[in-house]
Amino acid sequence: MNTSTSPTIKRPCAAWANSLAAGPDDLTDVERAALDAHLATCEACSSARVDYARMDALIRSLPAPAPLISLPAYPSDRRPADDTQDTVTRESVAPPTNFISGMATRRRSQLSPQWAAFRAIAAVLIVGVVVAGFAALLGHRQSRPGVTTGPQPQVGDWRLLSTPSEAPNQASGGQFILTPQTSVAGLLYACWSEPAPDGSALLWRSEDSGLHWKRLATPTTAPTRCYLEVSPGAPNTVFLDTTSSTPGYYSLDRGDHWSRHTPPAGYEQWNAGAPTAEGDVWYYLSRDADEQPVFLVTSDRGAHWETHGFPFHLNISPLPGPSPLFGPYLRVRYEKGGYIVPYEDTLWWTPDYGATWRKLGAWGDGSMGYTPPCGGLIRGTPDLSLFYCVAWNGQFEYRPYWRSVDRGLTWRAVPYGPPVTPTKDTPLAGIGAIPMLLRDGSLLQLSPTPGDPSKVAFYSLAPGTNVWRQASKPLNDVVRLCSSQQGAGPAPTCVIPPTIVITDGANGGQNIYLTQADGTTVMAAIAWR
Amino acid sequence: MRMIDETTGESEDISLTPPKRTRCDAPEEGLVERARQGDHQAFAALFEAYNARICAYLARLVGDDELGRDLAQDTFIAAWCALPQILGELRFGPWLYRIATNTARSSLRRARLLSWLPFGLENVHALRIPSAGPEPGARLAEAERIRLALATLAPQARICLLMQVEGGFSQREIAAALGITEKSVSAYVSRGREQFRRAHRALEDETNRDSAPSSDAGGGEHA
Repeated sequence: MNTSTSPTIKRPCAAWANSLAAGPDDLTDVERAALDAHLATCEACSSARVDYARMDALIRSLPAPAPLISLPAYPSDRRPADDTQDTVTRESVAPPTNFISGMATRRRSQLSPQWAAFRAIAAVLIVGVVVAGFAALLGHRQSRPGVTTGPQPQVGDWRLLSTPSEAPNQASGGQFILTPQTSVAGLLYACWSEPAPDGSALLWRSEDSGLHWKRLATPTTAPTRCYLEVSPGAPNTVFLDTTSSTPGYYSLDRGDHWSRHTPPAGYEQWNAGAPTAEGDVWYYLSRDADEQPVFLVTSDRGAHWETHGFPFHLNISPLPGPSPLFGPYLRVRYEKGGYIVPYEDTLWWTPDYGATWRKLGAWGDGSMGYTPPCGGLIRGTPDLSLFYCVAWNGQFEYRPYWRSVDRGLTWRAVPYGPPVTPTKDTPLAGIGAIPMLLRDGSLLQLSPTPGDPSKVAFYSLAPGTNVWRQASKPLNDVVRLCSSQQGAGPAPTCVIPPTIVITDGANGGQNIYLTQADGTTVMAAIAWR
Repeated sequence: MRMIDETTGESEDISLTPPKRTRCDAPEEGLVERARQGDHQAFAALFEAYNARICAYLARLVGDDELGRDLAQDTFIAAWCALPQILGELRFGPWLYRIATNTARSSLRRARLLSWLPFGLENVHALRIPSAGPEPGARLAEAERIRLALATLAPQARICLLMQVEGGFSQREIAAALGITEKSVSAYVSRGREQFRRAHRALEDETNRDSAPSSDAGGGEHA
């Protein structure tokens, strides 16, 4: 048997490709004569023609399915009744207006029992949906729980996180910086923004959500300014202070031991503090010499770096500096190390840090220039089964959100639901108002309350619904917005805006951490009941 | 024209001119008009004329015989229901194919929304075919190759190519049926043919590689 690979297929000439693909009735005699003349002199086109004829024969030779035995039962009421027929007929029968008016004037014929039963069931379903919709609407307006079906996120009482006993007094001018590890329940790192009196860095770890802290030793040569980075894909890996051109440090055992880390040239283009780690792979998202986004990837802890590009050309913002909405915001981590990147109206997926790309889906009209229509922010579950493209575009212009339940293949608009839309004049604006995604697919968002826009509350959108609800009281107890007169100064339990982190929690739940304007952090457990 | 398959050495006679499908337009007009009035017998005659073709077209379009038959049933029901709405002259064949196409599109859209595709590299390189076995399986392998090659085409290219090759319609008729320009149909068919050609060739090569005796097989497993 001949097992060698076939010779390379030559493409037909572009000028003749359409003529070659034409059917027997599609060319005039003159066109056909011209094509024949060309075929006599062109091996590629001649070969294509032979192949096309063979392909046609192959397609026709496919075993045909058995035809229908008989005509389907005639619906006695010749109306395109159900969804499929409605869609089909509207698309296929012109003009639609005739179709609709015809429906309105058509005489109802006698109904078969099956048809009548179907219509009765459909009527009951429609009434049910309408009633449920009104109930949900009322529930939304009156903030009643239990409108949506299935377990709802319930937030427990807030707890003020303790600070390590060695932490300096806040009056000393420093700041206690908390860094939760989002994929390990209760694992927190904290550091003091300024060096200790002896010049060392102050660094702690807690494995019980801040109840107890352990001081971590740092290398004697470590920078004294504390800055930590952790990644959900590498729970035991911690990076320490790589924010400047000086080399940083990494630990593979939650900060007990440290090694030097030298970032690749150009890594700082998007102010990346440290690489993102996914197991043994570390990478930066940066820009190349042409201002285009690139992944800088290493799998040997920085000994060698590879550069992988993106599948599109980024139109650089006319504003000075890098495009503010590109970079770390424009991505969703995929639990196996992949990333989702929306650009203009298209969603791209890479499973291997940019080595290969796959086009997933598109939405909107792509008229927003270099930013996606949804504003450049996307939220998704780690398994990519649910995406939200959220509407904040950095200019306080809110649009409907977009939701995809089929891994980005198709998108549907969902309403922007919190009752008050933040504007540039409301205190809560910008990053603090960006919604977060809970494990069950609920969106959680801070928004001004209708009665007093100076106050804020959490609002949530359950998966599969378009109904926003004000979140439960415990969740909102803690959220009090500082008045504009108070400014950003210390004012316990008021936020301008808060820094919120959602992490995995115990027993399949999640934890929510909220850093307040005074630098303290509160946390609460989220469970589904 | 005699064509030699370079992969198998076999030869076969190939006609460069696709067979023209016979469409009895004149009697069909009368049948359509009577069916429009509610004549079951007239519609049954139309059904008989198009039953096999619509089933085959839909089965090739969606890559599944049973689904194709189900969609064909939906198509004929939709056509029966929609006929009274049609005013003026109607070319029944292209119109029926349009309904069939839209029915398939709706079905695929629903399936895409409901199914949770495996999400990994295996999906990107999804072209996997069963190894071409000995002769009894060879025909099945060829049919599978054709289905897989068709599946690689973009939906619109697949629709236009199948309407031309399987339905026997001219590109002008396809354009009218689908509501797109003749030029677009020409481009879709051209693109579809070339994609199909390359995909099929790649699958043939893969089959040949899979069925090649391994050089380190050590004499095989036969007693």
